[in-house]
Amino acid sequence: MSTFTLKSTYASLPRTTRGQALVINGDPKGENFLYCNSSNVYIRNIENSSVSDVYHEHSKETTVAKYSPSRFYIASADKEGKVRVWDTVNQEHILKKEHHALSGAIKDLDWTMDSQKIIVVGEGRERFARAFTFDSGNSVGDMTGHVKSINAVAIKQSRPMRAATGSEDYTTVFYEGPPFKFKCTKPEHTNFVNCVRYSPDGSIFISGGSDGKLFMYDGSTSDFIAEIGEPKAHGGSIFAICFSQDGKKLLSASGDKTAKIWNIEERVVETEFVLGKQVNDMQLGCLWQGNNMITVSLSGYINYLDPENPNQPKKIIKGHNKPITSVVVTEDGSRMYSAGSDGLIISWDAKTSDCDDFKGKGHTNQVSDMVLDGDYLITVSMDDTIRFNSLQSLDYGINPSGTEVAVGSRTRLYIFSLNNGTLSEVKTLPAQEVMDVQYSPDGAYLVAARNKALMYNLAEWKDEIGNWGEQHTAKITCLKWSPDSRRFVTASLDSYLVLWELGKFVGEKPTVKAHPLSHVNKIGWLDNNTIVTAGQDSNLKIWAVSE
Amino acid sequence: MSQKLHRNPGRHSAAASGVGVADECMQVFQEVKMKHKWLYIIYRISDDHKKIIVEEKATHDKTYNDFVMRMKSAEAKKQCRYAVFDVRFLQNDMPQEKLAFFLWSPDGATVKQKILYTTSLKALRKKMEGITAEIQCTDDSDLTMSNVLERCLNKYT
Repeated sequence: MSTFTLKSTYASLPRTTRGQALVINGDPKGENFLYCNSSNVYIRNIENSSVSDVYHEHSKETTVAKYSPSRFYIASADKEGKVRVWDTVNQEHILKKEHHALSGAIKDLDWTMDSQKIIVVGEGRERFARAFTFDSGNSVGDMTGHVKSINAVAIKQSRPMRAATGSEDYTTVFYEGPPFKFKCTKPEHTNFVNCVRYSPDGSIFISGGSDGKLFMYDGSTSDFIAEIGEPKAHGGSIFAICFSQDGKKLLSASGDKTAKIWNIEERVVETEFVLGKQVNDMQLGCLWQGNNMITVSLSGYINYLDPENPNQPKKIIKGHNKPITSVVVTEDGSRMYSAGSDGLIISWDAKTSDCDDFKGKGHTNQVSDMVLDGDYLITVSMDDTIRFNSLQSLDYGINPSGTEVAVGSRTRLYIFSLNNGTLSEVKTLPAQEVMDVQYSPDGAYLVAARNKALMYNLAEWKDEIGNWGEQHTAKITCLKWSPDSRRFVTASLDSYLVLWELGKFVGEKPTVKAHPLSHVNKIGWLDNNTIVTAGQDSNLKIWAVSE
Repeated sequence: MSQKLHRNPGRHSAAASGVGVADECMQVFQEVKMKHKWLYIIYRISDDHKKIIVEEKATHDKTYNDFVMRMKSAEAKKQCRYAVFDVRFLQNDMPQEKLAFFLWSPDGATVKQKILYTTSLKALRKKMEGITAEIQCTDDSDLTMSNVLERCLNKYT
């Protein structure tokens, strides 16, 4: 049995960019939804948002993921134009095929109804789209007709196969196939086309653009049918649209901070959801799956819309979508607080993953560290100037008895005695690049972390670990003593966790990476057998620690 | 030349000049590329300066000389042209097929024509995949067959 067993992951939110559409996709069975952040793909249960799975095999930032209609595979794409097709059935998510489809970032992809072919669109030098069979990678058609990068693609999910793409050259192009061939250009939009989607039965497709307009076309001939919500469907850019399951209604999400449900037959708005007034409330993505209508705000928060009560979402999933730089646990282990590189502070229920953000004027920059003192949460941030930067490699710890302070620097470890608010140097120990120092809660030991762990017995100032301290292959980023002062955990840039027991390295060599392709920024102990790690990949993970 | 070039800027195309591309242009190009149906296609910008349209599609009984003649007659009208030519030749006894794209911008054309064709080039060219050589011609020496062959070979070796 390994030392650390993953209990649960509190997944990060989708990574958002202002003014750029975010694609979230559903599940043919209606169970999960997919989104991307950093180099990960998140498979999240739509009903119970605490259930999530993370796919972390991409080496570059991911952009879009979509289930095949058969639900056996997920195709996910990244910023470098790579497409990975992987298995959804097994927990390991075995890679089926990887293709280098485009020379630039992929922005959207879609499967044909037979789960055989994929069309990817995005940026590139000469071509902005490719159609290929997923198993062999053979090209199935010539996706030409656009002058600038393409934002969206939709394939008709019934025969005869058709496809439509929307691009930054203000046009929508319609293809017949397979093999997919250019048929005609649709010039209705007067700005970027951000989203194109087919109705479930394939009878129509609708495009939404940065001009705030929605246009409806015939699904098999691409004849222009009508504009929805004339003269302007939304006051701002439309970033995402999604059909209801019966194809009679359409959900649209816009930069004007609203989402709307449209009656397609009558082309009028049925419900309007106002989701706030701040810049962060712009709506960048949406999904309609079964009874759940969800939209994603610029802040990354996922809103579950309630048509009965348009001004108040049923539920909002909050959390981080930027790297988590700090985490602190309350004394009884029931709550934890995490803070991110964007200055956002979130308070979590450690058992249920329910969370809420701190209101009010917060930090404007990375929160470096936090301390809980009674009812107060004290945070330090790089809010202000470059001067704070050098502090990053400097860490300090205060002896629980309150009489001694240890400060680590690039070259040395200084021990000061604290007397009436003044510090006087007692001792200097040679140590390079000290990343973290911490006294054990009972005050008997001091641990300093650099590329190896050093543990000093405070009575004799002797390193008790010695050569065994080099368990990590890279610099240690953080360490934390358990509340009972018996053990401590270190985490490193190599993303492994190592458990130590009073000067001994315990357990096996680490085998499971805590935050793959990323690293751990902070550790907290929920109780003597449970830890929480905060990662650069914006996830919080809870681990059971074996005895 | 009293017509405005920037009619409806941004509409129909993102090209700098605002000139769009008729769907027919792409369909004919596909026919050359996939089926070698035509020897060459000549494109021009419509008289109202709104769209690039197909002026001529030549069957395989025409020759390169016919193509040059057409270019000359455009020059006589002080106009420019775009063209795609399906070049076929033998290299080390191996038959080769290459697509060459021409921007015919003769010295004799009016300045306005030259500006219009150069600024609208991207709108058409970006939609075409699989062009081996893009040749900008301004006089007769650029139009010689040896020059065209050299450009097609250059890309190959």
